[in-house]
Amino acid sequence: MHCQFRVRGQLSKTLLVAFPELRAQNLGAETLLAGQLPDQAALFGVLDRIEALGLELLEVLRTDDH
Amino acid sequence: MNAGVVAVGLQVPASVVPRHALYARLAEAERVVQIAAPAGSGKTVLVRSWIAAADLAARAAQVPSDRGERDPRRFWVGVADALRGTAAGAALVRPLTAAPELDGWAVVERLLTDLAPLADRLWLVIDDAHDLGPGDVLAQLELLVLRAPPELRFVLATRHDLRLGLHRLRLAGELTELRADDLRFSVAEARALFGAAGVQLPERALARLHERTEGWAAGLRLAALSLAGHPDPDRFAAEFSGSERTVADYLLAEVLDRQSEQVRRLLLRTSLLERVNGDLADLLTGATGGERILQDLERAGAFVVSLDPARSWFRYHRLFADLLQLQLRRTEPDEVTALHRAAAQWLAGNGHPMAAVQHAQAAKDWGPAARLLSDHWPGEYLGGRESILGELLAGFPGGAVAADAELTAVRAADEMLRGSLDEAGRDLAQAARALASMPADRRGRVQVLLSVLRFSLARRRMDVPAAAQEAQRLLASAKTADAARLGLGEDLRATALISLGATEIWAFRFEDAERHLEQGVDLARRIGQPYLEFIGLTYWAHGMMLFRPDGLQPRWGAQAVELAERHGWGEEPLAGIAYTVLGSVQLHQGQLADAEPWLERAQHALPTEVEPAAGMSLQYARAVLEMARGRYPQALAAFGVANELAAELVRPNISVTSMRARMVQTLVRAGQADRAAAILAGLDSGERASAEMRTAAAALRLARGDPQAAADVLAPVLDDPVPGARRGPGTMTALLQDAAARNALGDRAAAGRAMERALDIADATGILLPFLLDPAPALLERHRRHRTAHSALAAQILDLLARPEGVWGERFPPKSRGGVGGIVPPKLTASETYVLRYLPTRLTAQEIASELSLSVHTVTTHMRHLYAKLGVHRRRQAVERARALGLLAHIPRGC
Repeated sequence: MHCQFRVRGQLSKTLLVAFPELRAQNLGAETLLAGQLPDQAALFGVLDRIEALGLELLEVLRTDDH
Repeated sequence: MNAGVVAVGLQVPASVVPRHALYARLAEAERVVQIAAPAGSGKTVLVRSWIAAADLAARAAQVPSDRGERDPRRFWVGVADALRGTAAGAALVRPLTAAPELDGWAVVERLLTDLAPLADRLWLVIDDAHDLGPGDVLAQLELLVLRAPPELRFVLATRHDLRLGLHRLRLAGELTELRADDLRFSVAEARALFGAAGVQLPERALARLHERTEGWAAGLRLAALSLAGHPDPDRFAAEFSGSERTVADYLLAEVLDRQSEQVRRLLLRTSLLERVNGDLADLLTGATGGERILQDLERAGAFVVSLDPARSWFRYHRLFADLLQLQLRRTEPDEVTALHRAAAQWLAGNGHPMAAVQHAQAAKDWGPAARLLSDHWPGEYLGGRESILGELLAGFPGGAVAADAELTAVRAADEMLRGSLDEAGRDLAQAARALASMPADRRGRVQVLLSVLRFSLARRRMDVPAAAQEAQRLLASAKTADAARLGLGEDLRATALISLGATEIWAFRFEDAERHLEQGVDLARRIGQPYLEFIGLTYWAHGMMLFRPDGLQPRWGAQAVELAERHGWGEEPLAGIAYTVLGSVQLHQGQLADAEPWLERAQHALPTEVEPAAGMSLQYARAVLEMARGRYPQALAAFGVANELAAELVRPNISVTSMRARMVQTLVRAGQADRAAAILAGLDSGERASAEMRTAAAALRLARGDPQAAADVLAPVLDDPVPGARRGPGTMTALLQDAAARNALGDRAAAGRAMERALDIADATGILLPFLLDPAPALLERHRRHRTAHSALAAQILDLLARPEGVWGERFPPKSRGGVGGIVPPKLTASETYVLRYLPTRLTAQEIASELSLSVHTVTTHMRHLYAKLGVHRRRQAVERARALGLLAHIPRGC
């Protein structure tokens, strides 16, 4: 499944180390993390990391055709 | 790791800003407070500083939070310890020692009982509560929260809302919530924070920083660290405000930039550790002075917290550690493995084996990780931390466990603890096959370990031949090599001695057994392993009861129960075995009324699916109790359960044969001679020829009016030339049948001789039960008046038979002990109570299981027990009966 995570702020190279499976796109005051995830467990894994790093999650989208 | 046992540092640094508005909300809060806010919002500091400011330290039970490893048992032991650390709690809460298989539900029930009289307000503070979910622990905590006395207050700090029935609490007006917005610092509070850190800021810079961080505690604290001694705070604030980067990341980089190279190196290289001390820091940095740096960082409020009063162990704030780790992985990726490896070696050599396993796994050093786990898991198990076994096993790559004999043995232990006996058996066999390919220096030790595990499995299945075989192996290894050469730790040596002794009982080598058990129990006591001592005493008591006909002594069982009471293990499965033994001892001494409460307690504590052998002993004892009272339908029902459990045990088996023979006699007595005859006819020839079944056959023939046939079938039993081995209740029963048969045949002298022999055994062993099960008062009375050496004993038995209260106890006729209409409600275990609450719903057993995070098998077992205790056969009847008894009235369920 292909997923997008929109988080607040620009993520530094250091923060991006936490998301090796995702590509980051800088949108100014926001960052779009996107990538192919194997399953729901992987999705929750990403959400966990976003929470642990104190990032503000703005939006989650599933962008494949299911 | 063991450093976690020390209390979390509770001191509040002087740099902390008092937050009076929030303190006031906490002081006026409802019974339950949930502080739900993201990482770095200042939850922990708020709670601690409030407790200090309100002078509540003596009334606040703060549960240590163990990052990343929330073992349910350790959590509940932590809760009990924290409660006992308060004045009111110390007076009310009984001590609780961590132990394997400790039942969280039982602990909650115990805490609720202990705390019920609580009169002074007490706060239970649980930090990082999000780490508890989503398994049993959270559901257990919910039970505690819902049923706690009003003066017990809860403060739960969490990153996200807890599934704790909050909705219900909210509706009942019992919940106060503090959320991220509430925790934001006001401008005035931010000014105070910078002031406390020695940073004087122009108003404009302060406003910018406050706006950019949105009052987020971690952001403000990082900013204060960056600004300490900063030449141009205005410029700093302006640049920060102009940046689009995330707050923590931006500020952490600033903080690191302002540290010396030595400090920066220490922070990055130790960020992989759960806990760090000076030695470990120096090892990882290759420098010295680590302890001083850590103490300085703590003083500066730099997200470093000391864990002990001596300030030698430290932990980083979670968010801070995560960010540092990312920085390390980005800037020095090649170092990460070496750091894990070095940490693993240091931790292994300094008494933190499980943490060492985790770091060895992180370094992909699978071999050393496997050796460490194999060497140290028995100690972890005995310390009640066995849930970590599954986690650590999962940390090995796929196939690695199966390829390694030692890991396969660990997995077998883990499976056995979960009640998967077949899987455990398969893994033990596989480990034994892989043994040959192991290095010789480890083989002996693993052999002993496998023997101990196989014994444990055989014990649970009552597999006598397998247990006897393990006894031989353990004996051989005990003879050929001393423990030191095998590299056995004292834990394992004591375990081996106890297993050896227990297997010797099964092999009828009672003197060796007593010697080894005594040594094992003494060693366990000496090395401070009370749970191992408990295991030894319980095995001892149960083994003697099963296999030594005159081995019914209360001593070992009583010692085991005393130990269990002292450590809070009264609801443990092993305690259930000890209760069974004590109840059986009383039963055999003819003290039926005294036996009953023990058997009831055993019924609550013993999970028969994990302990089928002990479960059969218990059901057998209950059946005999009912039989002695002449309540044949109840006796037959208990025999039915015993028979089901017997199917899980390895046959042939003397205890199973004895139980089934008694069942046949009960059928005869209940007037179901045809069913009794059918069972006897269905036996194989070996079992039919046993002394027990011959006695049962004699009872049937007597009942059918053929005393000669009864006497004939008993003859081989009574002519047995090995008197020593046949001095138990079985022989007494045979003698009593014989006496009855001879009497019916008119041979009074032979009847008297048989009666006298039965009395001889009773006198030597104190066993009176057979006289109650086959009452022959006329025969006994006549015998007493003629030639007997046991006149007083015969009078005592006649007295027992004549006095109904001696047999029935206070329960019959029923007296009111609470409940409705003079009916005593059955005592349910905590787990049964929890399942009972779901019975009025439309949920299936499968759905209830998933609600409670239990296996469907466990739920159906609880339901079966519930039905038996309530005396019903259907769910609807159970609900009606439970309502009538007041068991379902006051516990709402919903959410």
